[in-house]
Amino acid sequence: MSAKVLLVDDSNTALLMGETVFKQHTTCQVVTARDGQEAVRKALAEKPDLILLDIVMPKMDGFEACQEMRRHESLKKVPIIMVTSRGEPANVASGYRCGCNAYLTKPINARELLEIVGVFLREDEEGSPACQTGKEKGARTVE
Amino acid sequence: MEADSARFRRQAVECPEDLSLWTKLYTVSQIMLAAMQEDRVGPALAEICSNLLGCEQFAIVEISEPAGRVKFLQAQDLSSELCVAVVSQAELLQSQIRCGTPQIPSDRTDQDAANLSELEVSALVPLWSEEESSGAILLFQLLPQRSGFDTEDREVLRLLSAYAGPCLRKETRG
Repeated sequence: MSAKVLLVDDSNTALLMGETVFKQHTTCQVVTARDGQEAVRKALAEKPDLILLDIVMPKMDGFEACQEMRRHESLKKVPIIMVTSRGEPANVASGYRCGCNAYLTKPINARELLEIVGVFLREDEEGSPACQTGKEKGARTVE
Repeated sequence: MEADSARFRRQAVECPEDLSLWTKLYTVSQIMLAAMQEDRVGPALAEICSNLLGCEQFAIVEISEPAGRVKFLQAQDLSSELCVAVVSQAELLQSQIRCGTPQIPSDRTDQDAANLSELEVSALVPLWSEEESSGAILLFQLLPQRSGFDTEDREVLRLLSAYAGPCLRKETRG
């Protein structure tokens, strides 16, 4: 089974870019959410292997969503990568305090995105991320 | 636009070394296609500038020929002082739009480029439709993590220049 990635962003552009990269260059299943509340709901329901989380969103921002996700046992160890235009040091620090594992700033470079996702998903025997080869789910190595 | 989109998608698969570029161009073409159908071209351009170019301070201006009156179709994060400055520089903007291609003042050393820089413009994307100039997308301050426009950005700017004019014209004409 391939890995599942939850993409969270209120921007159609960011979601389309992310979905295109994952669908064309990996075998990851992609699930999307457009605000923090929906992200928490979908994370609990879909049990993703990795979450890419925007910060500035309606209803609940990415910091709150990240904190909320970490309160749930099933989401405590899921890698969360914050993907945002807010690259100021204070925002990066806030992201880590809220429990994210990594921080990417926009504009996203597709290759960098795949590389960082690969780091958080288990490498298969050929050295490719699990999501590229359709290997088993649950494939993540945090830190 | 649809043919371009299909080509960009194919290139993203066939040329993995340029994956990021082709994915961005594919995304721009798809977003603009959808925006044209939904009459939300301005917001779509704002999303593209923010998410793909790292610029959240921008304006779409229409400039009437030959009077040179500047009309803001959309503006994001612009101070009133900057809006006034833009309006006062209609002639400069018109001359840059007539160049026909995206203008990045930091690439140049002439007086017009200096004047654009003084206006805090980091890029001017001319809008053309049916061989008539209609205005420009003006990109101002980039996000702090951006130091300028790279090759990918320049391709995105070129694509925006080709698509945005006809899309906006269709939207305003209904």
